Amino acid sequence: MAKKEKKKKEPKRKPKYGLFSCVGYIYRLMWKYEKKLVFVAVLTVPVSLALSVLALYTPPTILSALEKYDVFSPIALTILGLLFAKLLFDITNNYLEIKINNSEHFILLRMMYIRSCKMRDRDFYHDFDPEIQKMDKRANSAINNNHTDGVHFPMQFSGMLREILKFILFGSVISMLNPIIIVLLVVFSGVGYMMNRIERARNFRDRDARNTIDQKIYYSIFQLSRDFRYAKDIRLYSMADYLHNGLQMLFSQSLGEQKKIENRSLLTAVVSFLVVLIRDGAAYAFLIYKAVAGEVDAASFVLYFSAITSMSGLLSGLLERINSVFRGAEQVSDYREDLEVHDKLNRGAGILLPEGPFSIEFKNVSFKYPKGEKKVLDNVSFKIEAGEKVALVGLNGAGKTTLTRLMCGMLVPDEGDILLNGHSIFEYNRDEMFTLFGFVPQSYTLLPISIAQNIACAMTDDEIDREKLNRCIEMAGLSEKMSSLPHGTDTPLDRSVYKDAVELSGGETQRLLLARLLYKNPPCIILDEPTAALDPIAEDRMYQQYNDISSHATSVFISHRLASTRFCDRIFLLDGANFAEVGTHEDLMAAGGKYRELFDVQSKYYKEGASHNEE
Amino acid sequence: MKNKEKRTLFKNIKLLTRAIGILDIILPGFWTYRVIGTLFNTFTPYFGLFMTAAILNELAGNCRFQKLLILAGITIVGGFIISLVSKLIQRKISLIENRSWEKHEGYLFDAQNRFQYEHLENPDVITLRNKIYECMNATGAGLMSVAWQIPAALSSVLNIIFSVSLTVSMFGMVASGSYRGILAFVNSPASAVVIIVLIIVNSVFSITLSNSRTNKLNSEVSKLGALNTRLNAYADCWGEDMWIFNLHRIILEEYRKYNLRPKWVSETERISIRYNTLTTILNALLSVVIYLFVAAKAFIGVFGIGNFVLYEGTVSRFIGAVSGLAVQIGEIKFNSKYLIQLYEYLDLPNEMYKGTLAVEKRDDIDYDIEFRDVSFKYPRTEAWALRHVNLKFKIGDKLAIVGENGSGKTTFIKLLCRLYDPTEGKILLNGIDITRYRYDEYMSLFSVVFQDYSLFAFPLGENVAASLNYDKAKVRNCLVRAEMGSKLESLENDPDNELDPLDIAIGQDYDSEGVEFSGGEMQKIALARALYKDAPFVILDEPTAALDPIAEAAVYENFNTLTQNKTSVFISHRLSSCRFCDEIAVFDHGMLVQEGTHDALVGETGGKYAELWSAQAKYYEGESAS
Repeated sequence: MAKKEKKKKEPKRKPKYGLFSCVGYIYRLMWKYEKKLVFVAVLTVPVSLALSVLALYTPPTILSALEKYDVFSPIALTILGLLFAKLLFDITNNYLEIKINNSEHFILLRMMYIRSCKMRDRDFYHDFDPEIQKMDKRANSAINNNHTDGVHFPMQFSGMLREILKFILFGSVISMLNPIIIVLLVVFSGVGYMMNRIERARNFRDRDARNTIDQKIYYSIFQLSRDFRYAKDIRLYSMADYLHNGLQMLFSQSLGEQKKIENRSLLTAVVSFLVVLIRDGAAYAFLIYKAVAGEVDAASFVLYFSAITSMSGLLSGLLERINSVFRGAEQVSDYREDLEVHDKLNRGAGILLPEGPFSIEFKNVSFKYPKGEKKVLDNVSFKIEAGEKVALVGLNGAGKTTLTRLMCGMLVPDEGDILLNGHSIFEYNRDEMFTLFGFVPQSYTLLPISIAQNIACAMTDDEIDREKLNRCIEMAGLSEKMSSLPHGTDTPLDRSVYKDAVELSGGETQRLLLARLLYKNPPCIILDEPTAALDPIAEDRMYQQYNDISSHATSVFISHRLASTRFCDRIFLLDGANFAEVGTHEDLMAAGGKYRELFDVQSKYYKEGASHNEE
Repeated sequence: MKNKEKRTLFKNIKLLTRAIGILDIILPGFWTYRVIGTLFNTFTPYFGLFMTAAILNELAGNCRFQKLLILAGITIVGGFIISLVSKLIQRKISLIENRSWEKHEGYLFDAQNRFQYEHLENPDVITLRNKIYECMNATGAGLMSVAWQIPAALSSVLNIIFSVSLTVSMFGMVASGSYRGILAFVNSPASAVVIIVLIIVNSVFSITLSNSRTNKLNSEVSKLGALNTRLNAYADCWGEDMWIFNLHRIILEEYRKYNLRPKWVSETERISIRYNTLTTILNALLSVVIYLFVAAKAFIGVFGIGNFVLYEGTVSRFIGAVSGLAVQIGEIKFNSKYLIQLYEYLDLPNEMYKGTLAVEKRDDIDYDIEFRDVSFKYPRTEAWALRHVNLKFKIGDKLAIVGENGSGKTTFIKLLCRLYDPTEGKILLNGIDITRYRYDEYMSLFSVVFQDYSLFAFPLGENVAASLNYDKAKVRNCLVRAEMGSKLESLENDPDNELDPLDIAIGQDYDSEGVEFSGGEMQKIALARALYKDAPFVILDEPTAALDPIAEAAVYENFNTLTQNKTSVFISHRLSSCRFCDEIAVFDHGMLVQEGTHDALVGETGGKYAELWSAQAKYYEGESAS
């Protein structure tokens, strides 16, 4: 509960960019990518105005023609003329609306693309920052579908203009009857509009409850049902009923929230029906009075009555549009703000990259994840010499992965500096610096493209050096699997996308990740638990090859399998946000500290004569 | 030809009936309120037209003040009541329809959770499933379309009935005077025939046009599905390797190529503009004729100008209803192939559920399992994943299974847990073929932690208990036994957290207040889930892969207590685990090559086990242990 209250107290956010700045931004975007839309938007104004004039005047004109003429041909001509005009404008309007729809769609796709480009280009560590996550969420909700105010924002302007012109048109018709009516209509619409505002404000107030339920439903349905990885556990733990009941529970919670919304909407509706009752009653009484007095004939009766009834719809529509324009401007501002997230790493020209293996030095580095409370690394200093092989050991959660992330610029230190080849990571151009590193990460990403492309990280087949590819596959111990596939290395990954895709096991995936690293062949390699899913023989092979793999590189090996430390020049043991022990395997064993303890625990079961009943 | 059409009609009706039935299950009460609402909403405009006509007739005729006031009063009070009733019906429908898409997905999810597991690894089934999603997402094609197509068609039919019954008398009305030219024609009964023929011609045109438009549009949109799936899969690709290996550019290039100005948008634009224009022209022509006809009748005094408004309005609604019905019939016909696709998925055969025997509930946990000459090939593959496996478990045995990656260990477990049935041979439980037991009963015998176990982002307690309602003390106890006790304590003592640790969600996908657990902790939670189930067989597939040496040792040391009185199967690449198992089964290329105790197998020089063992143990031997 305390957390919920904190949220409420958050001061009202002020958008970074104002209305006009956002209008300018969007129109520049339109001018650059969808020039057509600018013109089409302007054209809709006269066309839709003409259509309303026709809709308003057609019935009374025909009625009055019927009453006025004694011969049929002028009546027929009136009908023909009016309907033909309507036909022309209808066709034009249809055409323009379809064009607008599609152009808006293209602008949306363009905005999404610009955002993806930024998200996929900015520094990685932003992902951990809750402030930036909030900005991302806001920017995303500005453009996540065709229906947001942010997307319709430019078109709402021409809409506003249209509505204002119609207001003038209908207003002048009514003021011929009596100008006071307009004032009354404005008041009536005001009541309806206020009811709407109140309803929306109340709905907005409990949006958090709805969003929470929505997120839960989304997860329980769309994330779970499309991911067949859960299928085994669902069966073995007989969870079909559990999942069904959980979902039904969420549905009934959602229904509860929806009831609140519907009840508010019912209240608003009843009030607005009453307003209509009074408005139409007054209009009828007034018009009938005039008609009986002979001041208004049947045709004008129809004209005035439809003008009066359309007027109130027009007014609330106009207010609605103005609101939507302001909401849209806020969303566009959110979108722009997110595009301007600043990178700490050097995105401009950098110093020359080292050739071959290089040294890595941490100087008093401290780091803590923005969300976490504890420092993961506290004042850490060390130096790995060029070409040195280091093993990084420690308990789960000791900060091993974090340390390697800092090494290659995935994270940046809060304090202290990191030097590559004697120069700060901030001196290198970021993307050039990334070419120095390669890793086998614990949480990996493989793309829904062919295995060969995944290994070579290639956009097209032409980019792949087949000979090198085969060598890397061979070294990673994946060639047997590849030759078992009908399309070999051209087989795609991801069954949910390609029918003929292959699903790799954990061990095969680790081999693939190793092959990808070998193909890149960078001067610094980081192996984060590369053998966790490998069988003993493959693991052994990996150790044997390790010297070959890392012969021309500085390397860091993270593993819970302490056998791996044998091939490393030095072992770094992380504990309590700093290095507890550093040295060779022999040194640390002799020292009899934490490392010794870990090694003994693990080797105990491999020793001859160890009994299996310790107790 | 006729016969064939009849048959497709019959088939379509059958498809629709089933869809209506499913929707009735997913959204109870939907049809009742939808039908009432449609009747009501269709009727409403006629009330308005009728009243306006009456007022206008009075205005143009006697213009009596009192009569006019009464008519106006009926109009506005009637209008008020109609709006109110309509709003109430609408409210009810919105509540029934609340989350209808999600309920539809939930229905499919329920169905797929009862499929035999094999289907979910079958690419054909996955493709079918994806297609259902894609069509659903792109155009709502499939079940949900039926929910709005049927009411729309009903509304068109009702409109046709109402408008015909209101206007049919008009055609018969003739003025008494004599006229020349067009007016004479309008005043003759023949004119009615001509108008009716024109309306029929127009309807036929609209039907043809709309069918061809629907076909073309939908074929464009259906091309979209596969592209969307791919782009969505790209959107999920996110991780640090994307930066280091420069993978973003691949995704962005694809996106730029296919999705910036997608072809289907321009294609559908062209089609829509063409057909909309044609339909507008057709309807405009017809409405000119109708307008002239009704105006001429009014002109010669067959009826007053009030009725002119009534008849003109009614006939326009008739034209709209006919072209609307044409579109809806086309769409319903088009939708039938998506329904077929959906039913094909729902009706996938379920061999696994044919068994009927109950598993004996015995306190002495006296179960024994035997693999009798079991061979297995995965569907659609040629290679044997398991070949001639004979194995008998003794009760209370601790069995370790070892072998290289891909030697058949996990397949063995999948057969044991009946995720698949053997291709050849039999698996027997207490001497009876396991396929003869009831599936759910058989499943209740196993507590399994798979190598690729999955936990949900639901609250911790629910995850352990695999249920909404659970015994809190028991869940806690299982978590403590799985070495999660200290984590529970630290969550309890966390000042930021006021929830019972068991109510904390895992990760933030389900609940943004959830807590991230490390890989090691997740593995322990999965272990706790197996303990909670408390089944007679415990199967652990690589339970320590993500654990550090201390945590690994703790799992080993607790293994005996964890699996007390149970038959257990332990798969691990860390062969140290074999030391505390009574029996070791060694798999190699799908065959069971060795069986025995650690001491016996390690002694068989040249054997597979010795090879595996020494590959790992050599790094730890010779090291002076204290």
